[in-house]
Amino acid sequence: MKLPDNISLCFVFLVFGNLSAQTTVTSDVVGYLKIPCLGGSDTVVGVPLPKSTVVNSIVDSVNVGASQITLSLITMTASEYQDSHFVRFGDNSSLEGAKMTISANTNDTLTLDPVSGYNLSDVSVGDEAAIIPHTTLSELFESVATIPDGTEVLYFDSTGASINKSSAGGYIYYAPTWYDADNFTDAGQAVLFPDDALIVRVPGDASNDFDLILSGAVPNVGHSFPIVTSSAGANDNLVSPQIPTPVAISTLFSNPSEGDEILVIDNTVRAINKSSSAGYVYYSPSWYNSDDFSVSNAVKLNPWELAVYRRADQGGQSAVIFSGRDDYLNNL
Amino acid sequence: MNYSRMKNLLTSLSLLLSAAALNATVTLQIRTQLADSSGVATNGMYWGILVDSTDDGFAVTSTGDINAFNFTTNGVYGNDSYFVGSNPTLFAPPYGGTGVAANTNPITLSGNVAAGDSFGIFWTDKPGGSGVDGDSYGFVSVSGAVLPDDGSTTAFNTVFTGDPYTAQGSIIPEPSILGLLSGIFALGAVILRRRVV
Repeated sequence: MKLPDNISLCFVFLVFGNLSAQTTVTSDVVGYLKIPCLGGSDTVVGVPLPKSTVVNSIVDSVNVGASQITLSLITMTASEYQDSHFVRFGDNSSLEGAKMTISANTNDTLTLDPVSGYNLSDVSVGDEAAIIPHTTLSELFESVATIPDGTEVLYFDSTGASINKSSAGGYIYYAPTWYDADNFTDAGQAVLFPDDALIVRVPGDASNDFDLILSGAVPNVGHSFPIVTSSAGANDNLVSPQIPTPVAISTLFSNPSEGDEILVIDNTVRAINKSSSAGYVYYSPSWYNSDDFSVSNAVKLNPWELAVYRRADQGGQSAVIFSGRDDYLNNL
Repeated sequence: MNYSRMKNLLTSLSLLLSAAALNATVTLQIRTQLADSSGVATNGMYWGILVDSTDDGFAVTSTGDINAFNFTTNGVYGNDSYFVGSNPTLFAPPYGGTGVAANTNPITLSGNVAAGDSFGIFWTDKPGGSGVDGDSYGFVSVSGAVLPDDGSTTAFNTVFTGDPYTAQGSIIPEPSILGLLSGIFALGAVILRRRVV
């Protein structure tokens, strides 16, 4: 598997157990990824590697109306995963790779928060479900020895109906605390949703440059994320799909409509509030480079530094799911 | 790609580009301390930005009298557009502590509201008050306080550097209310006079 310089996937299959008992437990494949963040600049950052799975189970029953799934052969403590963990469905599910935050749990049942585009009626008994902790704001920066005061993390609302969106909110760091920039409460434990794009805004100049070292478990299932359509006009979705390797455009964005557009921002340019540095537009059956109109289906993008998927007007509000399996999965 | 397909592609691109100018947002990080009429930076005051959206100057000055105005929701004052802050003034340690106007909500650039328009901070001085008769108001605008380009999130704590700013204006009864009050006083005077007679 060919990987760019800033990616390392450490294939670790730890084998435990007692051979005579014929039990074997394998750990997650772990990896890390480096994202340089420049001083005096905006850097698009995703969460490409989730934390390790804490529970693997299978779906025993589904209550679509209550947005609940009951898991088999598992006992949980009530509320232990509430808002802090998400479920990711396995490769035997029609919702492979779909991620849903757990809004409540009993000792055997999870209440899920499916975002627009997902339908729990697509979950079947026997589907694999992994419970994974959300990455928190503090954890995202735990590799940085000295975070410059005034460093910000901006997040966006893909469900709002507009293009060229400004941030919907953010966090700001003044040592030793991350604050919610809206109400200035401690935000260190704020959860960062997988697949969402963030902008890290570092003040000052090159003396404030630092590297984010993001480590975690390499997803062992295909990707899946929603793209939201506005009720009228185009809509910008700020996405950084949770995938730790470069992926071809046609694989990453597998469900486009005429006129959909991808806008990529160059993290190596030192500036704030940047315009896009490259763009691709879909016109059936291909993606085209919007500068020279060359066919770009095979162009590989780094999912962790994507920014804008501009969904063309579809004549009504909806959401579609973009899903697929990436080449690296064949090597796990 | 044949000519007709290229034409269609260019048409859709031009539609995309024209749409980009129609519906975009900016978020302003004000990060400036605001004070009540006594000059004390105060938490809980409703504030927003007033945008000179018709480029005819602001309909309010930093001193003087204005009629009651609802500072708690987006609205219009004269020809200016008012966008309420995402929270009333609050305690924000990095920006002086008490009484900080933090952020606006994302503001849609549409109609007369456009990048390059001047704006000022507009607030009322009573914590939790909505801007009624007897309250004070504050208004400040400085050079450089202009709406940024669409899609941006921009900080203005380096623009509004004279904080804490004091609420120096007065909110007075509307003329119709003054008329009603003067009528009541006149009626009262007539009643008193008739009783004396």
